[in-house]
Amino acid sequence: MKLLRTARLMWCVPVVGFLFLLIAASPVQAQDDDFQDLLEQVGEEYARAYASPFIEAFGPNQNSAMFQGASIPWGQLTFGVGIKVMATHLNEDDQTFQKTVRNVDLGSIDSSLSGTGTLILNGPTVFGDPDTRGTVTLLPDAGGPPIALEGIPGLVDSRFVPLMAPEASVGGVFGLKATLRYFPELDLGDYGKTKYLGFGLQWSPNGLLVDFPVDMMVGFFDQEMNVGSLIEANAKTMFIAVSKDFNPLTVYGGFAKESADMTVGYTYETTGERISFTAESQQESRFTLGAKLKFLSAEMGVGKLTTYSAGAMFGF
Amino acid sequence: MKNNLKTMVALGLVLMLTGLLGACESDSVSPKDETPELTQENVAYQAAIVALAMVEVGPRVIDFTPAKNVYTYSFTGYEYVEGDVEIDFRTGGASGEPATPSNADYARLVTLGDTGLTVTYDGLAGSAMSLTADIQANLDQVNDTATIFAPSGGSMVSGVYTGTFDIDGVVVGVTGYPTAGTITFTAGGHTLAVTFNGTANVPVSVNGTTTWMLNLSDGELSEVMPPM
Repeated sequence: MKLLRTARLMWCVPVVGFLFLLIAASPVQAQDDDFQDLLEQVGEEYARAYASPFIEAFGPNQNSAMFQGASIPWGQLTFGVGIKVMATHLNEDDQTFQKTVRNVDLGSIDSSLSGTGTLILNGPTVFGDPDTRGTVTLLPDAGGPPIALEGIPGLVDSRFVPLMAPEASVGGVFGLKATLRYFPELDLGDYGKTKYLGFGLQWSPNGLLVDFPVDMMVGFFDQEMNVGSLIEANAKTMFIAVSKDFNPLTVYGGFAKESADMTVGYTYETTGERISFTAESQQESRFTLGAKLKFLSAEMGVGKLTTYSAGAMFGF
Repeated sequence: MKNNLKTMVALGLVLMLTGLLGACESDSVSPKDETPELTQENVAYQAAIVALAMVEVGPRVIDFTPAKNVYTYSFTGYEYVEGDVEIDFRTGGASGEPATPSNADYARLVTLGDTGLTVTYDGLAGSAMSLTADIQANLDQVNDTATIFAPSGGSMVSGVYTGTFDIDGVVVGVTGYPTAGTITFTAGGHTLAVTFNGTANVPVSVNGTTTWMLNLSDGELSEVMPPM
């Protein structure tokens, strides 16, 4: 049943397919744990720190591969459909975390405790070692020895956070191009319903600057993705790009201001409490450099995080 | 031909710039808070826990029954300690010949595995410290005692905190509390010594001054007020 549920999720949501493929391929599958199962074993502070690389990398992934050049015709209708894949390369340090929380009600951690204390959360993040469990160390304010409780293991040992997005575009009128990233709403059983929608607009002043040595373009994109009640991820980006055509190769680069947030919700097993928190991505801008050869493109985005993307767009 | 050259130059430029950008590794985005420092009281409790464990572990080098020179002992049903140790018996000291326990004058007890023994304190569900130890002892078959000598010792891990301990001159019997010797415990920049005296009440001292008293029968640690 569990396998069936995971299989449905992988099949149904190409947007997060890469991530869940990694999860399914990891040794953790044998432990019958998935992301939600693991989060349900810990409180909010642990979950925030544990999931932080995923939360931080997801937005930059969503905001990647926004363009494959800056040239948009002024009087020739164009259509495109294809797929974009992205992966944020995490810093090695993000496979582990340590977070200290003071003035915690110890009774909320273990019913046999009372009073307040300092909580030290330590261990692998979601992208850390699946064979190593984290620890929760309590230092009671009233004194006594450090008290150690078990945390949760990493989910998948990887420094790459992947994402995939289907995309379609239409443009060519006065330098305008509209782009859509979309996947129909699907019911994933225990995971709830999932949906993915993103849209954006680009405009190129090429028609006005006919003798300008490079093509230019400005644009924005807005995306929302839900995975049941577990994850809601939003991302916004505004960008400016230039490109130069060296037939058959097009070289392009750009700068973007962006923002992203993710809300994570789950039920904490110990208390039965519904936990929901929202975290904003620390990445606010990026530089992009890429190249397109016919319908294939590859690029690199460098901001607080480094993201690699590739796309295959077919059209006319 | 000219177009091909331009394409090659452009591609080379892209690869070069990508290589430069590639040197820009992602910043770390997960929390990396510093570990709060332990107080002397925290460390006193840790030292007490090691002493309580020693009361249960130490006698195993003299309280033996199997007629084998090396055997694994499982701590089950004990108040504080759980797990397995290996005990190696010899006659003629550490470099002597393997011997059965009743003929040995030397024993070495080593905890097994990376995490060693699990020590539970105060009955808190799920809370446990792991203790590794390597203990060497001279056996006195006449008096049924063993003297644990340096460089015996080990380490204790409690969540993010690790402490080390040295055991010197601790005399254990088949029953009762250790009659002499010291465990020196170091963690978080604090060093405390637990000195055994054959009774249930033993001093825990800092720089030779008794700062705490540990009751080995119930595990209670009480602070000793300095004289006014």
